[in-house]
Amino acid sequence: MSQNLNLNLENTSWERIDGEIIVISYNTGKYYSVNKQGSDLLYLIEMKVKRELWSKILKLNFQNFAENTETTQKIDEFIEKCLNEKLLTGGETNIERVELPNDYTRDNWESPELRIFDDLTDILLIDPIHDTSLEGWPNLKNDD
Amino acid sequence: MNIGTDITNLLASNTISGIPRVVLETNSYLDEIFKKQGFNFYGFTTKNFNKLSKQSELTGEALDKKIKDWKELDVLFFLDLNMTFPALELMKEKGRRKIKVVSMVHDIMPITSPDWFPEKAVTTLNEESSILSKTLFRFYLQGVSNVSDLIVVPSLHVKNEILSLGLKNLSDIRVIPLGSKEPQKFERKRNSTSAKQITYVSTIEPRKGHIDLINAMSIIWKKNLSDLSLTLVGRYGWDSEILIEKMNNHKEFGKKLIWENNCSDDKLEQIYSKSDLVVVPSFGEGFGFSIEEALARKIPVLARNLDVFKERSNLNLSFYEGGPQQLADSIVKKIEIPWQDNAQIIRSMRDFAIDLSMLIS
Repeated sequence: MSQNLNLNLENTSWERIDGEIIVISYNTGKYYSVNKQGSDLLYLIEMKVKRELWSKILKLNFQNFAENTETTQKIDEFIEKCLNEKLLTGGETNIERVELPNDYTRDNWESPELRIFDDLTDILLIDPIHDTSLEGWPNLKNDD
Repeated sequence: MNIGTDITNLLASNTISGIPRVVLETNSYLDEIFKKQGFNFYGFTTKNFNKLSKQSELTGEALDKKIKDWKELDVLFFLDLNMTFPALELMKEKGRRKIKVVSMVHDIMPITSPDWFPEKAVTTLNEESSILSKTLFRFYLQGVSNVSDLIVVPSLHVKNEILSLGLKNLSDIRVIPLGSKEPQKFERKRNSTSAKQITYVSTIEPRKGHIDLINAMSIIWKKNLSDLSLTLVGRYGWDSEILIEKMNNHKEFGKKLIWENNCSDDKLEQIYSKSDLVVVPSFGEGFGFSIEEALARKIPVLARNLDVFKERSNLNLSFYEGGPQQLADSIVKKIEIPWQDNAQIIRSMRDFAIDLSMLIS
């Protein structure tokens, strides 16, 4: 796997709120959500931090971050998934130190996760307030 | 020029209240305003709602007959909370031709206070496809902020909240306060008894603060502080089963505590006509237009001291802070203060529509 990566900003919209990134790809029509840990990894990529230094930074920020085969594998899987979705592209990495964004309280490390939503137009059909049952949106009321 | 207004939700909704009510009223004024200005005004939809029953009367006859494909329009108003906001299609269309997109963001509470909403927005799909309400709302907001030329918000409070998110790609934001639905054949009626009526008009959901109001009224009734009744007007929203149980089991339920859960506009006017005080105990609003509705009918208002409510200034609008005891004390005091005539004009939905219409130039 390429060690030198950057965010693919072409025709995509990236926004980070409360430590979580949402990406909209205007090429493919897909929506993505990235959990906090994944968003921090993407921040390290955006800041051009060398891959070999990621663990050191993550250890400083997450109580239980362990640099082991399983953790490395989960990170690799996450990066690969982002590459497959063309959210990452080739780039240079030359930064050695960076502070992670101070937009949420970091506690335990969890595996990075990229969720892909490519069927939104089919499911976003219901008015969330007026058409739902007691179970919440989008469980439709049974008006029969 | 061909101008369009999004009526997707209006066509799909089974009932109308809250934001759709605002949209419906605004559309009728915009229709009138644009007709005078020589523009064509149409309704458009962003999805095929064949799967859902249509109630075309909700859109107003004129707009329902004048539905046009949004790709034939020059200006698009998205005044409703439309989770099918077609960001991708609009982005492509904007690459092909000049088109102006004006979107209204009523609030961003699913982001700032996600606990007030059902956790999962989509639960009918398999677990892997489920979406948190907050995530789904972020998709919507991000799409809106990416492709809209202008974002309209109803209050400075909402504008500040959006700015605080620090979005990188954000359209110009304009604050245009909503207004009151204009009273139709409204006449204040004196109650035949000495009892005075408190009214609260709102969907029943956790953030609306019904529980505080019922607890405050319980204090008043228990201590016999004042001869008051409470009428709640609004449909059930979500996550309020405990409140409904408490209300149903309340010894004053059906007597001094009334819940009108399916109230027509005419019935609402009747209730307002007998109201001596409107209380708005909500914990969060993008605007809170029930305040204008009450003031337009010369009914004093007591509202929680939220920043968004305090953007207004009116002699007949008072604020309280605290829980049920403080609310009870404030109600007992406020109910004794008669309406104070003043020259303050209450903003109407027509005013809102006029301001909105100016954005197309």
